[in-house]
Amino acid sequence: MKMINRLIEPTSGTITIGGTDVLTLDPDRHRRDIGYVIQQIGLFPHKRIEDNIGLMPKVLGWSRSRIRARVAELLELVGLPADYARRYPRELSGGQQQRVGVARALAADPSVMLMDEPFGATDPITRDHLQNEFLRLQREVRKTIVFVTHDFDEALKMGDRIAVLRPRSVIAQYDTPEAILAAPADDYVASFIGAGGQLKKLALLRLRDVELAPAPRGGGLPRIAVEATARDALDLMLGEGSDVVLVTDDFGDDATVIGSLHLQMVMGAAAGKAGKP
Amino acid sequence: MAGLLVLWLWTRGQRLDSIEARNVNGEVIGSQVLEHVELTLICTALTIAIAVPLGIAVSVSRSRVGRLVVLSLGNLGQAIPSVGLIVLLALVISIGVGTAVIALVAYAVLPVLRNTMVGIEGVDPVLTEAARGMGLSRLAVLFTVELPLAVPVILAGVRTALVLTVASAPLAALIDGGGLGEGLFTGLTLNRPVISVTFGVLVAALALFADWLGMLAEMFLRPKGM
Repeated sequence: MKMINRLIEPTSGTITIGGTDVLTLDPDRHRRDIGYVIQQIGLFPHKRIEDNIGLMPKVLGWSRSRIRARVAELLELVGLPADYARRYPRELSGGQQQRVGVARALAADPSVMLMDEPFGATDPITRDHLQNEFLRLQREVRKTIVFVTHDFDEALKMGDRIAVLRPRSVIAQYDTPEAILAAPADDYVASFIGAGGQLKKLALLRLRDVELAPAPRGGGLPRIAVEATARDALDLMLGEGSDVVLVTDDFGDDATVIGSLHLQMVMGAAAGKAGKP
Repeated sequence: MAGLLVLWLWTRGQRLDSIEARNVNGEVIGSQVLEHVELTLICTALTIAIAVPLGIAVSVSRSRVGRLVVLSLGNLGQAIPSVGLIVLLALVISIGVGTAVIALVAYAVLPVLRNTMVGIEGVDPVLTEAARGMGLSRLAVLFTVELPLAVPVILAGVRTALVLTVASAPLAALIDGGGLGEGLFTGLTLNRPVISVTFGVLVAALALFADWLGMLAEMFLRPKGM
C-alpha cells in the first residue's frame, strides 16, 4: 500500500494506475490523487475538523468558500453533524474521528483510495456501522479502493475482489468473495474462511438479489427488509420458528411487503445459486 | 513583588553613606534595569534566531553526525563556566557589550536547540506519515504539522534560556557590558552589602518575572485543541 503511494519506493516491478506507471510521476502530485486512510487515523490534533478536511484543498489553492462547501458536503456524506467542523479531533469519539479520516481522504476527490485497516481500532458495533456506511458511501462516490484488513469477514463484506496474501505477501488467491468461498485455492485460503463457510456465503447474498415468492395473504409472519442478507433471513426463521418470512421494501413497520422467502429458497441459494448479479 | 517591597523598606530603613547613596537610588537602578532588560532581550532574540533554525535543520536532515556535532557544541557552550567564558572572550576579542552578548548567547543556545530538536522529533510519526501520504511536501509537513506541534516544547526551551540569560547577564558587567551586574560588583568590591543585596534581589526578581512571562507565552502560544 505504501508502495502504491510511494511512501516506500519499489525496488523492482511496476505499479500502474489507469495505465500510468506511478514511478514516472512526481511523488507529491501522485499522492494528492490518492486518498489515504490509516488505522491510527492520524488527524492533526492542533487543527479543527474543517481544517483537517480542508488541508489538501487549501494546498491546492481552492477558494475559501469552495473549501467550506466541500467540508460541509463531506461531513454530510460521512454522516457527521455540520457543527462538528469547528471542533478539534480530541473532542470526537474514535468512530467519528475515523469518519473524518475518510472525509479528509476524499477531500480533493482522488481517483483511488488506499485504506489500511481503517476500522481496525473500533469496537465491533461501531465497526459494523462504519462498514455499512462505507458501503453506502462507495455506492455514491464510485472509486477504486484498496482495502487492507486482517478480518476475513470484513473482506467478504467490503470487497468486490479479494486478494488473500500468504506470509511474505505472496498472493494465495485473487478472486470474488463468492468464488473464494465456493472454491478456496488451497488449505491456506480454506483456513482463512474457517468454519461456517456456507453461512458466510449466505451473508453475501442480499435479498434484493433473490427471486422472491409472491407474498401469502394474511399477517402474523416475521418481516425483514430487502436490504438484509439471506443469512439475516435464516437467522430470523430460526429465531421465530417459521419457515417463511415476509420481505419488505424498507425498514420499519409501515414498509410495504414485496414478497416472501421460504426456507427451501435459502437452501437453494446456499447450494449454488448464490452470487451477486 | 513581596521581595521587592521588603527590599525597598529595608533600604529605606538603612542609613546610607555617600557611596551607597550614589548607587542605590531610583535613577541608577532604573537605568541599570533597563540595560539589563535590553541585554537580555537582545541575547534571547539572538539565541532563538540561531538555535531554532539550527535545531530544525538538524532534525530535518536526520543526520546523526550533525546532531552529535551540534549537541556537543551546545553542551560545550553550557559546560564551560560562564564567568570563564565571558572573561576568555573579552581577552580574545575585546571588552564591551558585543562580547558579553556572544558569551551569553553561547551559554543559552543549548536548551532552545535541544528542545527544538526534541520537539520536532517527538511529533507522532503517524501524523507525519498521514501528512506525507496525502501529498504534502516535506517543507509543508514541517510548517503545518511538525513545527506547530513542537511549539510547546520549543517554548519551554526558550523559557529556560530566558531565565538563564537574565540570571547570568550580571556577568556582563565584568567586561563593561552594563546591566545590574554593575551595581552588584560595585557593592562587592567596595564592601557595601546594601548595594550588592539591592542589585542581587533585583536580578532575582527580574529572573522570576521573566519566568512568569515565559509561562504566559507557553499558555497563549501553545497550539489549540491539544
